[in-house]
Amino acid sequence: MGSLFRSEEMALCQLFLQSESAYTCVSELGELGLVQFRDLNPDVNAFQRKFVNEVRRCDEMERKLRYLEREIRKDGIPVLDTGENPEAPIPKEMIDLEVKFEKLENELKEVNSNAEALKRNYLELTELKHILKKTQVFFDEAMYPPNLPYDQDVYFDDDERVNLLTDSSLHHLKHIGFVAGVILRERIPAFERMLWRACRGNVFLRQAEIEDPLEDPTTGEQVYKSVFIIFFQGDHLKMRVKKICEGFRATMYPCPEAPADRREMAMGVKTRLDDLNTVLSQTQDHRHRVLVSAARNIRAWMMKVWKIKSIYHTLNMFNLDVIQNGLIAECWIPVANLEDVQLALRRGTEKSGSLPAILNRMNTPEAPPTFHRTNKFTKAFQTLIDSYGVATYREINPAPYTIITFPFLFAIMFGDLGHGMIMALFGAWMVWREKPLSAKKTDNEIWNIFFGGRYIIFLMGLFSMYTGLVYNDVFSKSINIFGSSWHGNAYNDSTILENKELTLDPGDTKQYDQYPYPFGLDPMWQISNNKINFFNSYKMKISIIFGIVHMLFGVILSVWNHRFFNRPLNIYCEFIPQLIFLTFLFVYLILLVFHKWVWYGAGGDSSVSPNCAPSILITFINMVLVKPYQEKSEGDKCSPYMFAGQFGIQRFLLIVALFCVPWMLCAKPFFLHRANKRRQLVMQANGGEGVIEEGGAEAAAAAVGTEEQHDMSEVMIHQGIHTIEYVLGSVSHTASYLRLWALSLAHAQLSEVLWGMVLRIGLIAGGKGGGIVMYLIFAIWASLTVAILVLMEGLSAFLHTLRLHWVEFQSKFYGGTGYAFVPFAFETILDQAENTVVEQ
Amino acid sequence: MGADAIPVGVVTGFWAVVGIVFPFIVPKGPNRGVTQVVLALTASTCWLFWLLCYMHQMNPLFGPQLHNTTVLAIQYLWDGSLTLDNLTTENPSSVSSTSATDDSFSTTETAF
Repeated sequence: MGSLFRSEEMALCQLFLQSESAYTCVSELGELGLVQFRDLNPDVNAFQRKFVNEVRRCDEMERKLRYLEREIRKDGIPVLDTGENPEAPIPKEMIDLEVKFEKLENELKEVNSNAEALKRNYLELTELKHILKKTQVFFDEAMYPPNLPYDQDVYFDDDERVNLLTDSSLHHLKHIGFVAGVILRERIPAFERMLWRACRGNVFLRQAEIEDPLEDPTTGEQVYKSVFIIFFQGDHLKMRVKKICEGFRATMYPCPEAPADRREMAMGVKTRLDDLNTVLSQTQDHRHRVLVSAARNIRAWMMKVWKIKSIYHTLNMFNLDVIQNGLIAECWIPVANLEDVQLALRRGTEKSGSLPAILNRMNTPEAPPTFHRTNKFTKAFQTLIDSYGVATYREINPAPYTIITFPFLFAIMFGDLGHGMIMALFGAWMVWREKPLSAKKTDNEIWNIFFGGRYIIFLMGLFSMYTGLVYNDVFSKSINIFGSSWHGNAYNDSTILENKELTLDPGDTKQYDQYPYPFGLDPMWQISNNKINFFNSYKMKISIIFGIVHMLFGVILSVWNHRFFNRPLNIYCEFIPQLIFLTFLFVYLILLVFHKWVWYGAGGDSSVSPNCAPSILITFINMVLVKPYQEKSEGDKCSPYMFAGQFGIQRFLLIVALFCVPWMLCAKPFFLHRANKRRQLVMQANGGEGVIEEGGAEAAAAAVGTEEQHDMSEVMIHQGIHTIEYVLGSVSHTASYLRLWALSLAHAQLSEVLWGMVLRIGLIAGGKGGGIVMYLIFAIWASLTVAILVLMEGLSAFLHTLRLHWVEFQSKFYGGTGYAFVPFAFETILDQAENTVVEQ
Repeated sequence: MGADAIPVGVVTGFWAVVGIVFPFIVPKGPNRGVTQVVLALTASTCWLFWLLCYMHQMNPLFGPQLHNTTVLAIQYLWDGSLTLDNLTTENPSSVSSTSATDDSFSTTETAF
């Protein structure tokens, strides 16, 4: 049997590593990814482990690299992902890396702080520039109050020669001081109010907005500011005004009174600004260059650091062998890969040039981890099974069968050629574009789930197309390929005109061809009124039949487990009565269904006519309730029985099936009890012959006796639970499979509603606007189809078929008490580390 | 039996080839066992599904109930036993009486 049918054989091995080669060997094993190490120091604190310093150094390096990455991302430089997988560097190289990162970090920090100082300077100069410009405005308004008519010529002529404080209008105010500055625009109203209150209205504030936003040096965001100028008289007010300005964090600038001075200052500011601009751009260039050169290697560095850290974490799990100056490790290795592990170890020891590592296989009663070797296709189905419970070590794995039964049971519930095609195309697209889509790492949970299950979705779509063909359902319409077996020829015009409803008679050869539609359901049913009756009986029967076949398959799988684990007792005391119970009752039910399909029909003998066909459900109930034999009444052509001897056969089947229950319940405990007794006798006999102290034999026997009684009660309880679960389960699980019918009916009805109430309106709409109406209606119909019928119904059917597998199928044979094999592999570690980075 | 030999033979033959013949020609490799199981399961489940549908329709116990307008449509579209001149020339009075069945016409679904 291939490896997927049963989990791999695992071996617990002890590894002796020399101190020099330990690092390289673990690195090689990490690349191989087939070894699961056990933590030999579980009670040791993380801070007391041997290699805690190295781990700390790795954390430091990671922090520096993350800082670099943030800066690179801030500047929008693309990080090159060559897809290369660098090897973990040796400890000597680690020091080189540390030095390099330290240097880069310091350089970047220095550049950043320089840039900040320069930007602050730049901001001050810009604000000063705006102040010098805006005070012109104040001056103009002081010269020409708004309510006086403006004389254009005078306006342009005099501004050069007039002071900020002209004598003409303000000559009676002496010793007027002023303060000019810049403040955030949002703070102006509060600033004004504060000034008014504090100075009792004795100061005069003018303000003008600066149109362009200025860059705040620390945060880097753009803020809007305004220029203000405050006029006051006296030192007292000056102090107050200055204090208020400081409180509101307004920056004040010295503004000269004379316009000539102002102009000179403005020119000086301009030259300084230009110089600063050049210096700033050069600083930014330098920073950009540093970051670009770092961006080229940053991915490789990150991977190296992650690998080093994981190697040291693993080394922390080892025991120190003081005598031989080496490290001891315990690990689980699949037996099939022991050779590969030996080769990896040899490579590691060759690299570091020391004595070879020793691999010892150990025997242990402990349960090994469960390892299923999967590829990208089978991985998804294995995940489905493992979500319920990881298989017990070396028991039968349901996953290879699930590859087909899961999409198939889904398809029975989803059967529609149109919706199946949508699903299959979606799955096919994801499979076709696997590589580029998986390279894109997103933290969008829903997309990751869909993409992880791309093969499942693809198969579900394909099978749904097949069942859609058989159900003859394409977006709730049927397709007539072969020609219907039903015909309306037998009715003449008057019959048609007089009767609103006409039912075709299967007995009449003119109305029914006597041969069914070759592939799938006849298209005539889709346009009939009583199609629900027909579909119900059909779908219920197929649900029950597939359910019983699925469960029977599960029961039969348990034989392989019993044979592998060498438990013949289970075969005779559990498997055989289970099989007989299921077969004699439920496979008989299936046979009744087949018999009725073949035997009863219209157009034949009256005893097998449709009105004589007995209900299988009633027959089955009568069988189980042990109803007495029903005599056929006089003159009644119909018999309640389908074939001769049915009553007798049913009685026999029922009795044998009922007998299986005590068989399941008592046989195994009885045999175990007998085996215990025999062992006890053997032990007593040995005890008498051997040299044992007097009370020893009795004590041993007494101990065995209590232990055995304890075991027996446990065995009885366990067996009782198992029997009740199986017997009750066989009925309830069989009925549970009727969900296949229920969901299929719901899907068909929803599909019909969407067509009849949405799309039909568009199809019927005529006239000039009909095309536009159809266009809009189609959009609505299509989005509802995808959202409700494909997504919602698909999810619902997925869940139901998952439940059918987990509960109804696996309860017949599956243990599921194992734990998964999690090897030390760089691939998984790097993936996890990258995903946490993406989430950030 | 209401079974026809050709459909049964063709479908059974197809799935028999998929489920019984193909597993023997699966190339050797680590996935041989799984591929064989996949082929066999696909063939058996799909064939059984088709068979159940076929057998259910072999000897139907009742027939489809149709609107009279649907019967007319079927006679015209599928059976070809009705031509349009039949309606107009034979029963001129029927034109008025079909209006009585107009309300049913709007709910007829057409299959194509």
